[in-house]
Amino acid sequence: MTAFAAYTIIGLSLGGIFSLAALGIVLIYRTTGVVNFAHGAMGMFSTFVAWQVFYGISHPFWPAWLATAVAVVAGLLFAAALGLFLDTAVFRWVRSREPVVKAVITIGVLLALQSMASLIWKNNQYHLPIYIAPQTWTFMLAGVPVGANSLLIIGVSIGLAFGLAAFLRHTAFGRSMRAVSDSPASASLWGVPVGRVGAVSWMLGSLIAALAGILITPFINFDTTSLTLLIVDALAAALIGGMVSLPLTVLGGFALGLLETYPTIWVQSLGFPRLVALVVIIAVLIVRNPRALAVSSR
Amino acid sequence: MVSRGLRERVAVSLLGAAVVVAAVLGVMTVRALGQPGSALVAQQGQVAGLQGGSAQAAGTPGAAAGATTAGRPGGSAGGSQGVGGGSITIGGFFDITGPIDSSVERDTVRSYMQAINASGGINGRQVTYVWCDSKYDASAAHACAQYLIAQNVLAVVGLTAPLGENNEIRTLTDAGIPVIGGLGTPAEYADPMSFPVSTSFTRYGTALADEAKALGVHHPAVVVLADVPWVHPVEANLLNRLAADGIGYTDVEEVSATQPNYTATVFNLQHAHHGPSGGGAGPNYTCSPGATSCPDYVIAALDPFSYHRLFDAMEAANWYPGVLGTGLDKFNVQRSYDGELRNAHSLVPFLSPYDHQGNATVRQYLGTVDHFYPGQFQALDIYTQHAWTAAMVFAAAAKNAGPSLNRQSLIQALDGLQGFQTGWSVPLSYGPGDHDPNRCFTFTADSGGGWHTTSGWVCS
Amino acid sequence: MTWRAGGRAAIALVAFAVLARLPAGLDVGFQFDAALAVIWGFALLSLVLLTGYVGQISLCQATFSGVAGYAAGMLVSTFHMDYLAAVGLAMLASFALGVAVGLPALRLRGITLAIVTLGIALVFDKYVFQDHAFEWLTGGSGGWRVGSASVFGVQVDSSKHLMAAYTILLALFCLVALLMVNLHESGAGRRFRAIRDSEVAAATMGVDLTRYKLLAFGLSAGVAGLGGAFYPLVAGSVSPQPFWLFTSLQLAAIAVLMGVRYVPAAALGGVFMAFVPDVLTRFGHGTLFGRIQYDISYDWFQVAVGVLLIAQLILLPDGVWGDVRTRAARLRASIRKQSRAPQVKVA
Repeated sequence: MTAFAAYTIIGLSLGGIFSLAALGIVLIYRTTGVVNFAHGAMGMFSTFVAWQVFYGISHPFWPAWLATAVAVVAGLLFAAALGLFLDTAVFRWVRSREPVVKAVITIGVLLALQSMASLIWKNNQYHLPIYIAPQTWTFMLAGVPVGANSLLIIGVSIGLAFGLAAFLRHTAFGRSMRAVSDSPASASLWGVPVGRVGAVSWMLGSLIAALAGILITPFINFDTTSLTLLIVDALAAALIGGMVSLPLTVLGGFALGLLETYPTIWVQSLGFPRLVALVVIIAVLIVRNPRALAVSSR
Repeated sequence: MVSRGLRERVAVSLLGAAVVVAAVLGVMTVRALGQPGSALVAQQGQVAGLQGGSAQAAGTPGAAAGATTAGRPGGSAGGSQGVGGGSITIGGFFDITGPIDSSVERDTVRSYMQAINASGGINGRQVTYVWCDSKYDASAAHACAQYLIAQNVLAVVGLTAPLGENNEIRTLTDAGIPVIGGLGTPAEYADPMSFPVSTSFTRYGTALADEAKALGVHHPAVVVLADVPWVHPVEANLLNRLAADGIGYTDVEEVSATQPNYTATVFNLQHAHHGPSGGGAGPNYTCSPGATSCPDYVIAALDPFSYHRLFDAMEAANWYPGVLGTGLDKFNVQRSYDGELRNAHSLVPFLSPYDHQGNATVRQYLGTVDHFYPGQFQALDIYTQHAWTAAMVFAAAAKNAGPSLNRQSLIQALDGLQGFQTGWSVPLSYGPGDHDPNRCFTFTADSGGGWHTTSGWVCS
Repeated sequence: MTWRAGGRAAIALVAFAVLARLPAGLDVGFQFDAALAVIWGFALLSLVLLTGYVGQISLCQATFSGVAGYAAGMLVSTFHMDYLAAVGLAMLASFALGVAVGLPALRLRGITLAIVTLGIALVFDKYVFQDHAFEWLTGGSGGWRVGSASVFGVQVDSSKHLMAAYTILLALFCLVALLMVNLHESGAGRRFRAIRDSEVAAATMGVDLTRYKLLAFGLSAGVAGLGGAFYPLVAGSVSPQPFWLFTSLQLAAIAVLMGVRYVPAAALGGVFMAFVPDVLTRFGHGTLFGRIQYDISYDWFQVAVGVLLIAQLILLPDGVWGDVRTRAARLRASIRKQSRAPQVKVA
């Protein structure tokens, strides 16, 4: 019975990770109409940049918190630049194409970013992730350590979910972002600066991916593929939210985390959680058939 | 919109490609420039007194520019059986792209050969090293073996590919190519043309159990890597020997080398009673509830990066049992253990470089790698010691074979090696038939202040 | 009609004759690449069928190849079956899997289908191909080792008889390519293309969507499986890595890059996928001017694929082969126009 409680804690921590990753995907989808398969890869790249800055400036004379802060800020700045670059070089030219084409383009982005990261940061060096809060800040709950970093992830995903939802619904810029994604032509007729809005959308999405990457990396392997592979679970959580509702996405992330963790009490298998994610995806798509996606697919 | 003219398209694509290439090369350059070699070591304080060591590298430093280690293009680079005119061609394959990066093992062998070349080569012949990337994949390892055969190498020296090695030893020896070195997979000890330099992995299992008994371990929990093919005999040996030694263990966890999070594993090690999936006795002890120091030890057979994740999770759970494992010491992971190593024991088949700084082989090894590949210095570990020893054995045998060097004479020279002194292991003796020259370990321990050797050679 | 079919068969025969002798002079490593190129060519062909002809996007084609590869390995190693029989059964297995994957596809389109196939690829990669529970299929983490086998009476193995493997694979490829082009022109092919262009319209015209979609998925998986079933013989063993998620993504990328509607694009893509990484490994590292060490590794290849894919989707929606075809057609048209132009004599 204690196992059940313990696994619930572990599952919720995992769910927080999924929620944070999925939030960015839903945001990008709602503001640009693109299902961003490269989301994890973008976050991974920015996290490596932050790590590089941290590693480069780590020095006995700098207090650890200052180095961390500078590194995180550098990573986020890079993420914004990356988002801007992707919009200017790639996505601006395909705004009016079919969603499938745009999704395949993100696959190209995924392959390119991942391999570039492999080239620059080889795998033989052990990369110590950036810990926002020290790893030792934990308290025990039901026999399982709950870390400050875990709580940070959960807090950030819930906060972002409501914050972004409010931003998209109640601010003028947020509304113009949604207008551009619904129909760039109509939006421009209404005087919305489509180019600028598109660029900001990608910058914001990339920022969230980077934030997620930096927060999540301590919990997964810090290499070039782990964050990328998180995309499937993130997509599952996003689909539970219908690719529309941010708070529902967070709930979906927690649910998925629990669903993936409980079976491991009985089934000692490392790949089995992937099966759970897939079943959830198929179930959600067949049962709910999110209208948002169905309308824009051929 | 983008113009559809052909010239514009070509120009745009070339421009895009140029930007990407420039960006990547730029960052790589910046990183390479900022990559300190020995400076980091001094800062770390773990391996002291190294600066004097570089001068000891075999031959004169700086004369290495002439040595080629690039693979020669096209067909048989090696001439007749890898020896032609003034050069010898040897080779190896390594998992480089993918989750594991064994490029450091490759560079260790290469640095040895570059040092040899700088001091005149082997009997006047320069050594060329041809390598292939097996990408942590058994089929790519097979393709690499084919490639090495096509390159007509004299011998394969120092290969490191956990997934693919075992199967490909046979492929290579079937083509008449002797294989020297390797990780310790079972196939290396079952072929008269394979010359391993280290201990068989299956022996690690028994040795771990014996050391547990020597240390007075009462009720350990066990965690092993499960996704490498030949781990089950190791696991079975370990568990059976524990049972035979009368040590009751509480739980067996099987993990993946790419598993990121050990929180659940640590929880299971403390509370669960899983058994092994591939044979070996099941757990035969249950901790009494409330017994805080039970299990008292964790016996772990993992790779260096996984050890760190395990220690992280143990620290988060505020659980500090003793840890008994193999090959725990890797420079760049050591740095991240920080306070987590309170009572760790490791057994290794070669003397640990940490507390044998004065050892001639250790000095030469550290100095040569640092001289030719300073960026790889921090990645050195027990498996690069395998590679260096393999290079030593090859060079000695090739020298003994004299001017008429070919595969047969090399094999004869290798078989003729008796009591070969590596300087950091027991003397190695080969001979006709299958080879198992190294059956000994030393125990090392770390209680927070670095590794120190706690025993002599313990042999089975 | 028959004249065109005969012409196509002639082209297939000529292509086979020309390509069959090509790798003969190369070393074992390149011969292995040639055989691998055909195996990936089959996977790309399956994408041409599924995505190019029927418009269903799939990000798990390498999975179908992998399932067939493991099945063949298992049948040969555990049941000591004749290799050709094992290939046949393996194809059946991947056909069945394709139909199973097609079931959710009946209700999903476009991106949602892509997401589901992505999930399937990941599940097979991380779970089915690597877990204890499926050791009966995968032979454990070492995979199956396949030695020599006799196929169509010819001795084939992974080291000394690679040319034989390549020749057989090439013959099968030309045959399947021919069948596919014929399929494109046939009644079934028209129905496939109708589904691609508009499912609603197709349904209105009486095309049985369920049957044809499932057929498309099954056939596509079977074609990919035909290539994959030969993998253990060509490589000597089978393991999860060649069929992992990123291979499926690469296949999709290269298919789109080369032109997902054209059969020759599959051949082009296969050569690209198999040879370029090996060429990079062999010739891509060395020393410039005796001082600067360079090392163009496999990662550069992947970067190139990603960037080229993006560029191509923005600039050349029809893929490289499609672009070549369009230019060739335009060139032919302009030549024809010129030859017909009246010769104006200036008195």
